[in-house]
Amino acid sequence: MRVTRDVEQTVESVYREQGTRLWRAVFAYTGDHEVADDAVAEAFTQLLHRGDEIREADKWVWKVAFRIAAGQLKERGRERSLQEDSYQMPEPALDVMRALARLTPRQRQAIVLHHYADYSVKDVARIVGTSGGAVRVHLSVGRKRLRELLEDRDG
Amino acid sequence: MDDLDRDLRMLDSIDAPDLWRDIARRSPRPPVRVPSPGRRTVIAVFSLGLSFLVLAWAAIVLSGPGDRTQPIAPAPASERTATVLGVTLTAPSSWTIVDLWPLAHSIATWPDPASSKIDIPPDIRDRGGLPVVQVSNHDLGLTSACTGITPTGDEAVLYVAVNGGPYLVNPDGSPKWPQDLTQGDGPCGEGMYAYRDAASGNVSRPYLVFAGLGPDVPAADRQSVLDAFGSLDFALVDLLPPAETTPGYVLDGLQLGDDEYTLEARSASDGGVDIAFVNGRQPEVSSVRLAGVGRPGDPDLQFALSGLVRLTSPESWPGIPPTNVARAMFGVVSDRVATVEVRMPSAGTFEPPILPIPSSLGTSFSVFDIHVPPVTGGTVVALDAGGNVVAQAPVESPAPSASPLPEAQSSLRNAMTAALTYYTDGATFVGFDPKTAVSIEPSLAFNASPVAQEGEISIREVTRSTILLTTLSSDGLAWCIADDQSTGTATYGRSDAHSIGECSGDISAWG
Repeated sequence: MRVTRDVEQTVESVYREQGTRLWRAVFAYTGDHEVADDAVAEAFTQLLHRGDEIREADKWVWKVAFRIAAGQLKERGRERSLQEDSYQMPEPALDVMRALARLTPRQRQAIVLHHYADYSVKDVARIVGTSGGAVRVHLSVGRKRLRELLEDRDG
Repeated sequence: MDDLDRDLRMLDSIDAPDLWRDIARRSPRPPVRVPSPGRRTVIAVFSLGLSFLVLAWAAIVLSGPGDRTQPIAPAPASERTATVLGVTLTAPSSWTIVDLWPLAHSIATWPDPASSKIDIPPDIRDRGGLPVVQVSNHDLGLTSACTGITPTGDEAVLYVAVNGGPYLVNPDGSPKWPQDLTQGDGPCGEGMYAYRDAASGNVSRPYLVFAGLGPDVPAADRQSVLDAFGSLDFALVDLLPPAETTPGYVLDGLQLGDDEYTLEARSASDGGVDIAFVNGRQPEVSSVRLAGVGRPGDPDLQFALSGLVRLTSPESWPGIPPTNVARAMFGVVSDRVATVEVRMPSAGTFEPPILPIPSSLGTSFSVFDIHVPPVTGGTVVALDAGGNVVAQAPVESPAPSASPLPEAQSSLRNAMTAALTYYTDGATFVGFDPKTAVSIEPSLAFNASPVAQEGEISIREVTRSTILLTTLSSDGLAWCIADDQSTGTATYGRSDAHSIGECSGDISAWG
């Protein structure tokens, strides 16, 4: 498909609006900045080449980026390993990343998408491809555990 | 915004790269579609050892040209998450999940099943601790997979039990098995075993996890077992007796407030199936069920409503103010029904998913469940594939066959939910009197009597953080339930108690 100038401008505007937040969300989910780089770049590249086919491009690109990231994690046969020295970040953010790393991948997905990216439970379910009930369970269990972990940090 | 939201906002301080130049230069990878379930197996077998890209292309080829414009990327197949006695797992929705806790109850000696003094009779074949839950790619029936029977063919199963007795630790005190699934021979026979635990503070409880794989298990199903293992989450909950007496199929998981619930199906003693709505952390608090439904000739639509359930945070429905309580609705529909609509004029129309009941229970009926706002008025409508109304019933009047659990206990539990709802609003029980109580839970009658009365809830020992409720069942027995928010303790008993300390008695009677 030939990418027209109009499509490129539209996608770039979506990227400028969503890209940074999406990257941080995928990074928080995977703990791997290389996976985040690749998943976000690939999602926007797909969007660029699909152009007008996609309605609600902003939601679509989140869904695709998270699914690419999930696929890459699975492909690499690991859950998550936060390389603390591989990506510089402020200490408070590193504390949150360490705590997130101790959740299960599904809990992490749900927490990041709902509490950081502000998606509704229904939208989180669509993004990760599961039911609203499952998202609620992961949110509930994940929230409790994350609060405990962050309180331990504060204590 | 709460503390958790604020903590997660810290992520905004992480520098994110500008990827736009990379994006503009890239060529997209071939899109990946979600193959059909049957094809997914074929794909997985042939793609073992191949790269992600090859898998992606195989999916495209096998899924045919008809959906080439659909998005993309490795989406997970439909999944189901359920919590049984504090053990949460996620598995493909086509797999069978079984609540085995009633079986554990029959194995263990109450009232102390989780201590090191568990007395498992020697003639019990199921030696893998106290069974909690299992998931399998086939319907293996309502028996535990940990019976020494090796999975055959393409059968795959994951089994979770409270560990105990001789399986707890090695003689040197170390866990019997590693944290990750490891091949070995154990109480469930040859397979993979792992040791996990639920912990809170200084208290922990060991769990045994067993994965059994037949010799012909497809790679995709093997992976699903590993994924289900990876999804396991253990909460330290009280090991109280179950409300049911036999294991049941877990048809769905539902999250309401802080609690997870399961919708479970069992064979009914008088034909048909029993559908129970079970608390996933406190299985003894099963508030309502439909008994003996789904028989040939039964009505096309039967449903039940739970008592009020407290939500963690207020939820909004169109047309009504945000509320922190809800009810669960579940029911059965005949095979004539394609869609169910819950039409509540004051709050909107909801369409619960329709889920199959395992064919081994011998019914052609399916179930549905949803949580709805605590408003009155409305209709549940069952529609056929053409959109024609097959059956309908008012929301206030569940089908006649709706059979609550023992009425006194059920009423006390619903009364306590009303009390907790009141507490949530004001952080105190003070002011929870009969008049206030009935405004929150109008289906119950309340009094302040010092003597328990049949059909009414007596409210006692109301302080800022404590409350005691009692009632009398139709057989003349007194029942009590108490809550102390300062310690987070709920107490169940069988006495006409006048203080929380007096609320005691045979707790197994609450089963």
